[in-house]
Amino acid sequence: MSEAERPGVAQLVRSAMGGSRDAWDQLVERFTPLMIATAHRYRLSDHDAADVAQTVWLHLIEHLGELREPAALPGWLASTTRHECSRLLGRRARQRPYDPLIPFEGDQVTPDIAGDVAEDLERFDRQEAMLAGFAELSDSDRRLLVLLVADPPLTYLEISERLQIPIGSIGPTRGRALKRLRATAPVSRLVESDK
Amino acid sequence: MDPMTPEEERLLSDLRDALLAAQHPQAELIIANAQDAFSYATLEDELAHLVYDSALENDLVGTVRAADTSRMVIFECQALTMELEIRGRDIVGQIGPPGPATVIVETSDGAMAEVHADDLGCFTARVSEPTGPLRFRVSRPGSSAITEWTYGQRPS
Repeated sequence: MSEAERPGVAQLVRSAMGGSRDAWDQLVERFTPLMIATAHRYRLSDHDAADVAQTVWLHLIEHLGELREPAALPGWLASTTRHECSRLLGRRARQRPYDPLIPFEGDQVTPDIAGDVAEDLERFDRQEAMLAGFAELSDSDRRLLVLLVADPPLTYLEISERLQIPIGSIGPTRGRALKRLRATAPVSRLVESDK
Repeated sequence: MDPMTPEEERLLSDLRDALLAAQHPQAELIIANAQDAFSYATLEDELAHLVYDSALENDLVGTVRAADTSRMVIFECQALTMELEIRGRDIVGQIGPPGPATVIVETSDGAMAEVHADDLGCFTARVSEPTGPLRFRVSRPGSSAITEWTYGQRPS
């Protein structure tokens, strides 16, 4: 698919609102990783992270018709996911018996871990921005980048075989994919703030 | 092979870290479930909004009740109200205004159970997976409504 006809997120949202299952499938595939990373940031278990993602998608289906600005979907998903995570955490906290003799329970930050927390926050923001930018890329860009960061690393020969593209084109294609990732709003904000 | 610029290196390493944070053992299942949910959606029913949730009430008051075993939720739309008590797998509900109705309990995997409300609008239902998202579709002559998704009872 050429650059021009590659549907952007806003177009996918409009198609999904019109009932397109294909567009919906793509939205779910693109944005679920961001939800999972957010849930992990809230230190939710894998089970709870799955619940959060499912609940947010179900909410979106209910409210899809009310969405006024299709381009605002990524922001809506991010804030709804955070809201669901803290709601789940709140319920967890209530279900834990309270012991007044334990001074630092729950979310309270003791001085010795405050430094770690600041470092974590910076890293989480970075992860969120990368995943949000990544979600805006085309299927082919995302497939290539996923293979390039695979652990253990893949050789260019393996990547070329998996994607059915010549080895010689991997370098230039990687360059263009990274450029497009760099150009997405979330990633360009991140890079600018690094300067 | 073409060498990468420092900025490209940085982007790739940030992306690697981000994708690691987004890993989930059931990622494919989560995606498939959310994709399937689109097919179950019908836009014709009136949406009944959550107007009361005893679990949230506790949040506001800030009380801690370790022995919380049941939860009250109320949904409301123009056509009807629905009060539910969720106690583990068991759900006791009452629909207002009173009267017979068909209630379909849906879980997020698409499984459905159909029960019938009596002349007073009362019904009971049992769900197989008590912790996942649930919603209720109520139909009676002349009106039908579907509730927002809510959680079942959570295990402590």
